[in-house]
Formats: sequence, structure tokens, C-alpha cells
Amino acid sequence: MTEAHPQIDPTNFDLIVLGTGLPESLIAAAASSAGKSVLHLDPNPFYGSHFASLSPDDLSAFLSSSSSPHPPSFPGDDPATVGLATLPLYSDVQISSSSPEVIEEHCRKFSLDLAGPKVLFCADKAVDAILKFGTNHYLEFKAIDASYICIEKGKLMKVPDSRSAIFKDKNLSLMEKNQLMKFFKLVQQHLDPDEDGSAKVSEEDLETPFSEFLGKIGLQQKIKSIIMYSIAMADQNQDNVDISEDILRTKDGIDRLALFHSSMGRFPNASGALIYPSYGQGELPQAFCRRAAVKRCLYVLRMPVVALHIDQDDGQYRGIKLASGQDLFSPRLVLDPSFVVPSQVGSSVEEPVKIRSQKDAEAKVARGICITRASLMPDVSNLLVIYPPRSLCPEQDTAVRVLQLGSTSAVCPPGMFLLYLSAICSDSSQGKTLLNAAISAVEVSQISERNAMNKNEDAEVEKPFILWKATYIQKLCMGKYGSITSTPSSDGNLNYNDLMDATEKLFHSLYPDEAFFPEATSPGNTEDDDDGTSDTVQRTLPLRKEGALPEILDGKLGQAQAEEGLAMAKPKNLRYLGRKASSSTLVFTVLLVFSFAVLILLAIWILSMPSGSSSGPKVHDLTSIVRKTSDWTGDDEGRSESEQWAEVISWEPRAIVYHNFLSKNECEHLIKLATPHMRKSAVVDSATGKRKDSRVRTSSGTFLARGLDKMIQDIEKRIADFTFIPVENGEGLQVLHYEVGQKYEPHFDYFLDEYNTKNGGQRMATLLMYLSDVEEGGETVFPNAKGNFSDGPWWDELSDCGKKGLSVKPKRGDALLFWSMRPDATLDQSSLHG
Amino acid sequence: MHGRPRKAPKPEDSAALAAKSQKLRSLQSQFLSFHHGCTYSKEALETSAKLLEINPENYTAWNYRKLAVEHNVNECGTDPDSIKSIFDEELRVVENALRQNFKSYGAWHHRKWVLSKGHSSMNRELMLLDVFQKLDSRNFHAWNYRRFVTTLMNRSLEDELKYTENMIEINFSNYSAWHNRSILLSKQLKEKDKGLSFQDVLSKEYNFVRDALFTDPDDQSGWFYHLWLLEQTIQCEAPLLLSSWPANGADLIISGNGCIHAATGLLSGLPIDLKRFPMILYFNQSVEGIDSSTVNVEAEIYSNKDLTWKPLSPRNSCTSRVWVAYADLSGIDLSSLSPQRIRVRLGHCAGIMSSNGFHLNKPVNIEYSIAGKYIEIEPTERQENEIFSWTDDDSYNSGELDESSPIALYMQAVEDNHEAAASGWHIDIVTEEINHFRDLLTIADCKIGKLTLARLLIARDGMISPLRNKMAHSEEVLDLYRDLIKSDPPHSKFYKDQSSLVLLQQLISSREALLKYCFSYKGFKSSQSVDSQVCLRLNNLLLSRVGSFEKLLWVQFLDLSDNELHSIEGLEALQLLSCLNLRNNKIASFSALEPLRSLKSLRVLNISYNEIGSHPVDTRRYLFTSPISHSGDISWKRDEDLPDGVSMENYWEAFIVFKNLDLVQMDIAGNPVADEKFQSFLVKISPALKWLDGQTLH
Repeated sequence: MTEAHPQIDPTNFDLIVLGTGLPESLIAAAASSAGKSVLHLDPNPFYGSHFASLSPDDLSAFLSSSSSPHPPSFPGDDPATVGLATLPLYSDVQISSSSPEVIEEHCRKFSLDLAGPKVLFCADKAVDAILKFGTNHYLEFKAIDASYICIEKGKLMKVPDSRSAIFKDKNLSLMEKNQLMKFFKLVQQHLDPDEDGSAKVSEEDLETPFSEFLGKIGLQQKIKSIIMYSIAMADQNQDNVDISEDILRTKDGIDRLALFHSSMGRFPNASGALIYPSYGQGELPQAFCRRAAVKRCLYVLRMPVVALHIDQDDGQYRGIKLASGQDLFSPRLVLDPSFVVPSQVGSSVEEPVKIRSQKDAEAKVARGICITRASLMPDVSNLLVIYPPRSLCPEQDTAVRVLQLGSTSAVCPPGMFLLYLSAICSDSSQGKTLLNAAISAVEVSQISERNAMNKNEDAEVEKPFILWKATYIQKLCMGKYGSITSTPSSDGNLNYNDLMDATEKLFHSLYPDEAFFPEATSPGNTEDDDDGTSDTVQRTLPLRKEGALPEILDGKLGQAQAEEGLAMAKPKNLRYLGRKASSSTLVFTVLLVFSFAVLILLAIWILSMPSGSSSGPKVHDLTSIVRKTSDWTGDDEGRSESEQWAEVISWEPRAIVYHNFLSKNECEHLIKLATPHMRKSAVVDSATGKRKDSRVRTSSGTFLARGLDKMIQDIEKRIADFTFIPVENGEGLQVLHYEVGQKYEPHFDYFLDEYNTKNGGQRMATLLMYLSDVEEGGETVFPNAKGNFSDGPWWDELSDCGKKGLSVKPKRGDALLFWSMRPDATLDQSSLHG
Repeated sequence: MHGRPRKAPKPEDSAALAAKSQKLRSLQSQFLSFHHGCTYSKEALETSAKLLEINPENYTAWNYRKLAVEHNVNECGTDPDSIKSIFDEELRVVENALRQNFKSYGAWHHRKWVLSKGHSSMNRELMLLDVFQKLDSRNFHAWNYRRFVTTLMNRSLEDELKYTENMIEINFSNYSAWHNRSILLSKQLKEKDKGLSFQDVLSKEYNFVRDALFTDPDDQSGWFYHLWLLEQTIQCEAPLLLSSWPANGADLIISGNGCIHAATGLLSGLPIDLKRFPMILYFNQSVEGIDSSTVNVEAEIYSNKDLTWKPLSPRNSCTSRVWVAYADLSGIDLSSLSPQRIRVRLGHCAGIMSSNGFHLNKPVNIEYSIAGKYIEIEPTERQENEIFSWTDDDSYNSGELDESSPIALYMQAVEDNHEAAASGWHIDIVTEEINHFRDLLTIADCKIGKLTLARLLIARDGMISPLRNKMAHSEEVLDLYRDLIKSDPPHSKFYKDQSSLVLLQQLISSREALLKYCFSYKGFKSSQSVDSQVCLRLNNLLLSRVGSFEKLLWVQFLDLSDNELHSIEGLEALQLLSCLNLRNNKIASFSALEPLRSLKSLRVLNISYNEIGSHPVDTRRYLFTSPISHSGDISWKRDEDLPDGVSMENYWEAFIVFKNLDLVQMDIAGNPVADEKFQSFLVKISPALKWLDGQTLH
């Protein structure tokens, strides 16, 4: 037991956070960015708590354990120590499977969201937060290709959400097209700061119910529905003032439309307004955890807290008792919503943080997850369907949203699709009714779509459409601030805006003097600064201001990831993605990145360190990331120990290949070491708690520890000798695995933002060690290497990039050292590689 | 590209700019020395390539490269690989230049030149175009080039149509894409063997563009396409002969002095030039192919072969709505000429074709007779000794022109020639469009929608009644234009012109209405009772344009004074016109009077109190006229004997208009141009002139 839960040092923190859901992770990230010492704990073996993405088995297990209360397990004989209990967040969990063997076979390839359906609007607060926190480096996104709304009984129509979509639409009449577009323009004018008052919606109208306003300007019911439910994403029936507690005002409606429209086209590679994080929404809290870890937040998973220490005099919270028996202390504690704040704790300042959509404390949200064998719509895999009130049944008072995700989002195996459903309800049976009605409506429309496509495939129709199904009711809990703060639970909204608001409020209650978002690290100039002209173009284009961010990847990567059922953690600080073209076999590379060691900058760093950091971690961050392994067949057997020699392959950038740097044994050892850590669940637990190193390590989720064993120590020593950079300055080993077809866009390893430079120093050099041989491809390419003309951004698309520039062919045991900095400590832009 | 603010230049930019210009200058001089020395070495080519990559607009360098390519291809003989590599190098240079500036004409042209040599593969070109069109989907250079490449590649029209459709679906505010679509469809419709009917294609296109128009009525790109569609719809039928002079069934009597009488009396007392007795054909759309083989004139007094048909169009184009041929009657003793039947037949064989490729397919027969008449007094002499008085209203007498007057009977003959067209799919299409846009205007206040509705209504009336005898919607159209003039002041002149044309159509739509504007002129003191002249008085109607000339081919005496005319376009159809009053209008230049050049019978012209000369250069004309563009029938002698101090350069516009006219009387006072110098110039170039501004000359 003690081994599983090593001692945590130090024992006093500014803040302890229990649960790694999105609000908790945000608070942890914000607090550590503000310089607080934070301990972030989760009793579960995975990140995300109630926002996690899990396999069907894990999801079932988690739902069933979270649907019954857990009384305090700690004997309550000491009045200063109160046992910590949990309340069930979920009820009415029903899980059924029509083809258990299929699910079983692919179980590890699914990552199912507990709090689905949720997506991000390209312009919403969550995306802003991701960009501001710099968490975008850990995330990849996939665009939601289309959204549909059910207007007439059972018939789905594509939501005409843009000018060109209205133009193309076949379901709207000419007059309806005109009305809808006119309304969009009205909103645009209203929001345009240059417009004078006459073009704006009057103050009086802004306060009226949105539905009333839409009627007033002459919109028909159909157009109203489209606007209210599929663009403004209203939950409640807006036309029934008696029943709906929550009527959208015109002001809110217009704000939501503005959000929607500013989302369209914000990122050139996302076609619509909505994006979804690849590998599931559980990636979001995890990304914030990583960010927090970089800011020296300490992470320990699988660490239940059994009891709280209470001050016997004033009943205030003092500290926690871990399952390992250790006692830790902090002035503040943040709990995820499933924990019960013990009544013994003085709750004098406890105040709920209201979110508008959660006025009704008794409100629940019914959620459903289906695994299907076919897409609802041919040719579209990621899509959203909205069933506005009364479209499913006359009693339906809230909109039901259905989100379908395909294997391109890397959440399920190819050929299968996930459906997430949600509906806000006041009681469980009502919620269940709505979910089931929506599921059958979806089935019906899927069948009719398929029949429309090909009429004579009867054999296909025989098979059940839904392979696996889970429905459950989730309680909606508000965030509460007090000496013990509770975070809000996932809400019934499609996006995270309200959650972000609530979290921000909580944070400000906790730390009134601190900024929730740290100062943005100057975005936009992280990637493309190699080309002065392209940079200026970007700055003048408002759409591109945020730079190269959320990166939408091709589907291939996701499939390969899911194949082995290995959750994948993205490499820390890999900036950014490009083409690592391996076309036949698999490549392992070990990436070792050296932190900055030049004196001047180091001095600056020392000056800028917050006080008390002497007990903190060392200067350098050790990052090691295991980027998934799978079978590594195809290793060439016959290679024996051979002569080691160095070859300078380029001076701009400085790049040296050290042939036969590693022996075959060492290569295999490294792979072996990395393999068990490839699972997301297994990432942290063997390693956490090892003090300084752990802080960095947790940020990756999986890693090879520095100096883990003799062989690694040897390798690190050798690296230090080879590079003349001390071992201490290294970041740690990062094992990367590339499947056939996987690639990385050219990127730099160095930092351009002040943020990271201050934190760990600049990166000087990278050492790539190739752990396996490939038949072809897999080269590391330096497109900017001297002698090769560099292509402009648009020209790139024409050229056969892979063949351009200096490239290094992987050979097992070889090491490639290249410097991101010139000898005079300026950044070397020719070190762009991929 | 669109919607990008220009940045203020930074100081470091100007330094970079100076360095760049320095570099350019040295490259340029280096390049020129190679060019002058006809050096086509590798080094020389590299210099020009470098120059072009910095400045793609340097067309001298492009031309140099063309010379170099031709030179080097000759050098290397017949080895296909080395020839290909020469051309590939050119493509590479162009690509790099386009990277610098993708709107460089020289670069695109050079690329076309290289590809037209046929040594290069086309596969890359469409990829390249995709990149450019992604950068700026409206880039017309790329679209032009696309048309060039797809023609060379023989890419199917269907594929290209699909492509434009996709581009339009991405953003329908794309003029270039709509334009490309109209070009492709024109091509497709000309390929008749595909079995595509105009009806199907047009109604599909109307549906397509209607989605854009309703979605965003304020966006103009779709409306332009709609206008093109409407034009196609109007011209989707075979051309139609609207009217002719002499009209079918007319019985004309011509006296020896050139006066024309109808059977029942004098049509007009004004003489015409017997050497140029006109025959006029007026069609409903521009046609070509009118000649003695397609128009057969059977007459004893002159032979078909002697007739030369000429288009009456402002520019030297071979298509026109109005065609004229002149018969020489001067050698015939008219006093004793017995009635001659003259038959004009056209449409019996193919050859007369509209611009859309439709042939006049309905045979048309025109029969009329000409007889001679003996006249005792010679009115010609009398009139030429007497000045016209324009201003005296007492000179006009309307009472005598009733239904039984010769002119009324003549007009009746013209009218009976045409029956209303019953129906047709194109009328249905236009009717449907009219209904849609009436709907649109109920919900959207859209200027271009109103204009389109007006155009549709006019088009529909024209389809139903080609001679516009029934103007069912003229009031609605006039209302629309009134509305537009009010709501869109910047374009009010255009709307005014359009509404003038409609107004005029309405005023003279029927014989009865037209008769109201016909007066007999009693101005000549010596005139005898029956020899009154019929004058069409369309004065004081606030017209800014005149039209409907197909109904007025007979007019010899036209009063358009006190209007707001700035153009008399189309007046050239009135070949019989001998007196024209344009007093107190807004004509601003002599070039606006160009239609007069072909009115060889014109003797009396009043252009006093206009604005001629108020602008030194006539900027309102679309084509800038210059002496060179009028090489036609004007002999332009630089050494023309002119009065002292008068320079031909200043008055060449006037010279072009008046040189070939035999004006007897002219009023020009009240124009800025009309000073003494100009008057002496006019006298010089018009030898027949007897009265200028009321003063007797000689």
C-alpha cells in the first residue's frame, strides 16, 4: 500500500483540489499559474472525473459506482477528523448491448464521454481559455461537419446556419430564406460597433422573450425553431411561458447567435462553428491538468481522500487525510460535486454560484450513449441533430440534442459511430422517455436515409443499428463557494460556456486578487516566424490571429491510436504538428530535449522565480511522454554492435548523426520499458509522488522516468558526453511511436513565448534516437535546412513536401542531434523539422 | 483581395523598399544589356528570371524570355526532352512570379503562351488554379486562365459547370463564378446536338439564381446573372420583323420633287432625296446576314442586285436591329410613272440570324406600290427659299389630322401587320419570375429587385406584343422607376432614361394615341391649303431618351424640343427625317448627335439651347470617339481649307457629324460652343447652309 501511494512532499499546500473534472482542472491550472502551490488529487485511475472519456467497461463501472452513495469509510471517532462521503451523481443507469462480442472485441478503441454531448464553439470561452492557458498544444480537434434539426415529423433538415448554407438549402422556401438571412443581418448590424442606433435592436426589445421578438419581426414558426433551438441552442420550450422556467431573452438570444457566427470561420480548417476534441472530451480536463503540472501543480491519481481535518474551535477546514494515511494541509479545498461537504464544517460563507441555466435546483439531465454501426447521414460522420420541443412527442418540453461522432475523432473504431444524447428533465422518467423517443427517432431516420441511398440492401437492415446503449440521469449541481468549495457538475448545455463562467466565479471567490486567465502568451508567432511575410499577413487577418490552433487532423491517426486500445497522451510542448512520413513499418524514436542552459537567460529566470521556490522543483522540467506503443514487429534482427561514429549532416541547422549510438539491447530495453506505460490509466500511478520529477511527469500522463534504471542512466550519461550538456538539463526521455501514415507537420522544438522560457528555460537541442528500423519513409525532415528554398505557406500545397529539404533516414540505434539555437544563443529557424 | 485594410508603412519597410529598388535597378540594367545584345545564355536567362520574380509586371522581360525560348528551341534542334525542359523552366519562372503577384497580366499571359506551344503537360495547371482560387475566389485572372486551360484540355462543359456551381455554393457573391457560368452555358446552348432545350436550362438557372437573390437581395452578383438570363430568355426565339418602310400594303405616290403622298393625300410635304429612296427593315433583335440573297425585292423600276443592305448601328458592326437599302429613283420620270407593285420577301431561306443563332424562320412578305405624280408648282424651290419657324405654335394645326387623314390610314396599315403573340414557355418563365419578385418586394426593399421587376414587366409586354401596341404594365413600370428615382439618386439618370422609353412607348402605343401628337405644319406663308406637312410633336414631355422608332419610320418632321434629351440613340432609323427640332434639351456634345450622320435627308436642324461645348471632353460616351475611329465614309483631310484662326482639331466631332449632311437651315445658338469661330467653321463645312440661327447667309 505504501508503495502504491508514496509519500507526498511537502505536506502543506496553498490549495488542494479533489477531482480532475474540467472545473477542478481549470481551478488547479489557474491557481498554479497564479503561483499557488497546488495538490491535485483524484481517487480514480484516470483524469477527468465526471468529464472523463472511458471505455464501455470503465464507463459502466464508473456509472454504477457513482450511482450509489459511499458513506464515509473513516471511523468517525475523532471530532477533528471527519470522514468524507460521496453522493450519487447518477441514477437510473441502464446499459444494454445487442452485440456484446463486437463491443468486447473493440472495447479499448472506444472512448465514451461521461458528460456528452458536449462540443466547443470555435469562439467560445472554453476555446479562449485553451488558447490563453496554452493548452492547445496538448489538444487536437475535429470539426463537426454538419448539424440537423428535426422540423417536420421525423424529417431532418440541415441547419441553414450561414449565408451559403441558406443559399444551398432545399427545404426552405424562398421567402423563408429571405427572412432567415435578413434576421442574420439584423443581428450582425446590431452587433456592429460602427452602426448607429437606428440599426440596432431597441433596448426594450432586448428585454422581451426571444421568441416574442422573433415573432414580432415576422418570422414563421419554422424559422423561429431553427434560430432558437439549432443556433441559439435553447433548451426549454420557448413558446410556452407557463411551463418553461427559463425563457431566453432577446439579449441572450442575440449573444448566442453572435457566438455561433463568430465561431464560423474562426479557424480556417474548421468548416462549421463546432469542434470536438479528438480522443474524447476527457482530453480537455487532462490538458488543463498538464498545464497545471507545468506550473508545478502536484498530481496524484488513485489517491482517495478518506477524511477531512477540521479545526475544533471554529469548525473550519484544515487539511485532508489520504487513503495512504498521510495528512496534508491547506487553507483551501476544492471538491468535485460528488463529494458531500460534511455538515461539521462551518458553512458560514457557503454560497451557490448561479448559472443561468440551472435555476431549478432539482433539474436533471438525461444522458444517453449509443454505439451504432452506421452513420445517421451518409458521407457525414461528425454531426449534431437537434430535436426541438414537441418534435418527438407532444409532451416534449425541452430540446433533445444528439451528437454523432465517428472514428475520425478517434473515439471509436472505424465503421462504428457514437451517439450522445441529452435532454434536460425534471424527473427521471420524463428524461428516459425523451431519450428513448429520440433514440427511436434517430433509428427511424437512419433507416429512411439508408433506404433513400440504396433500396435493395435488405441484409444490412436485418442487423441492429444500435450495438450498445447506456442511458442515465445525472443530477445538476451548482458550484458552491465556502471554506470548502464545490465545483459545478456538468450541465445540460451543448458547450462549456456556463461552466467556464461558474468556474471563473469560484476562482475569483477563492482568489479575488488573481487573474483567472494568466496573461496570454503572445499567440500567433509560435509557429510561422520563419517567414516574415507570412507573419505579417497573419496579423492583419483577424481570423488567423490565434494562429495555428486547434489543429484538425486527418482521421488516420485516430484509427491507429484506437487499434490497440491505448489511450494516448500527446507530447508535451511539441510544437507543432507536421509530417513524419513513415510509409511501411513502425518507428520508435526517443526524443530528448535539453533545456536551456545559457547563463544570461538562466539569470533572468532566477530573478523571476517566485519566493519560496528554493524548495520547489529544479530549473529544468523533465518531460517524458510515451506516445503509444503497439506491436513493434519488423525489428531487424541481424544488427550487432558496430562502430560508433559521428557524421555532421548540416551546419544550418547544426545537425549531427551519431551512428550506432544505442545498442540493439538498449533499443529493445527502452521499448520494453515504455510499453506498459502506454495505457492512459497506467500512466501516473507508478511514478507519482516522487516529488519534483513527478510534477513534470504528470503533465504527460505517461513517461519514462529519468534515471529509471542503470541502462537509462548509462544512456543519459552518454547523451551528456555527446552533447556536452549536463544530464540535469535534460528534459527526460520521450518515447514516440509512429504508425504507418502518421506524420507530424514541421515544427520547432524551441519556445517563442516568454511563458515557457521563464518556466523551464529555452530548449537548446534535441536528440532523436531511432529505436527501430523501417522499410521506407519515416525520415526526419528539415525543410528549412540551408540550400533548400523554403516554400511560402500557400505554395506548400503544391510541392511534394516530404521530399524537400534535408532528411535523415531512421536506422535503429542511430541518434540525431540537432540544435534549436545557434551558438550565439539566438533561435535557429532552420531547425524546423518534422 | 477583398476587405483587407492597408497598413501604414513602417520605417524599416521603407529602408527595405529602397534596398529592393536598388536591387531592381541593377538587375534591370543588367537585363537590358543582355536584351540589347540578344544574349540568351543561361546566365542572361537567370537574370531575367530574378527580375521577374521580384517584379512580375516587367513585360519587356517577359517578351525577352519569349525571344529567348524561341532562340533556344531553334538551337537545340529536335530533341523533345531538351525542348520540354526549356518550357518547363518557363513555367517555373511564371509560377515564382505569380507567387509574388498573382494578378500580374504579364505572367499569366506568358504562361498561356508557353502552354499554347503544346510542349508542356496540363495536369499541374488545374491544381495551380485551385490554389489561386482558394486565395481569392474572385480573381478574374485565374478564371480567365481556367477557361483557357480547360479549353486546351477539352475538359467537359459539365465538369466546369459543376465546378462553378461549387464555387458559387461556397460564396455566391462571386461575380467571376457567375460570369464563368454564363459563358459555359452559352457554349453549352450553342451545342444544339446535346439535346438541351433553352427552356430546361433557363428554368433551372432561374431557380438556381433565385435562391441567391432571395437569400441576400442586396448582393448584386446574382442580379447580374439574372439580367443575363433575362436577356437569353428574350432572345431565345427567332427574330421577328417588327416594321418596315414602306409598310406592307402602302400605296405611295412620289412627286418629281421628292414629296411622298399616300393614296389619299400628301403624307408629308417635305421632299426626300430621290437618289436615296430608302427601304428600312426593323427587327426585334439584332440580326446579321441581310443582303440581296436573303432579301428578295421584286420590282420593275430597280433590280434586286442594285440594292445594298447596310446595318444602321452606331458602330461598324455587322449586326443591327435596323437595316436599310437605298433605291435610286432619280433616273425615273416620276410624273408619268404608273403604279408599280413592289414585293419584298425575306425569311424564305436561311441566312438571317440573331446573335443567339436563331434564324428568321417565318417568311415575311411586304408588298407596296409606288406611283409617280405630276406637280405644277415646284415646292422644293419654294421651301428652300423660306425659313422654318420652329417656335411659333400657331404654325401647327392639329384639327385636320383625324382618323381619315392619310397618315392615319398609313399607320393603320402598319398596325395590322402584327398580331399579338399568344403564348410560349418563355412568357411563362418571365411571368413566374414576375410573381416571385413581386413577392420579394413585399418583404424586402430592394432597389435592384425593383429594377429587375421593371425589366421583367417590359420584357413580358414585349413578348406578348412585339410592336408594343399593348402596354399592359407600363403604369406599374413607371411607378417602379419613379420610386427608384426617389430612393436611389445616384442612378436617377439611368432610371429616368428607362422610364422615358417606357413613357414614350405608352404615349404612342396605339394609332389613336399617336395621332394626338401629329400636327399639320402651317408655317410656310406661301403654302397652299393641301400641302401641309405632318409634324410629330413630342415636345415638352420631360423625355431624357427617345425610342419606339419602329413605329415612326415614316416620320419626316419631328419636334423633340423642350425635353431633357441627352442622347438621340436609335434616331438613325428614321431615314426619311428632314426636319428635326432638338431645341432646349440636354445634349452635351456633338458625338451625341452621331445618329444624324446617316440621316441623309435631313435639311433643317435645330440644336439651339443645348449644352454642347459645356464639357471640353465628352465623358458621358462609352466609347471615346476619335478621328481615327471614324475612318468610314468621312474623308478627313487635314489640309481642309478653313477660315483663319479655326482649328479643325477643336471641332472634329462637329465635322464628323455635319460633313456629309446637306443642311439648309440650322440653329445652334445657346450652346457654349456656338461662338463666331464655330459659326464660320459650320458655314465652311456645310456649303448648302442658307440660314444659321435665323440669319440668312450669302
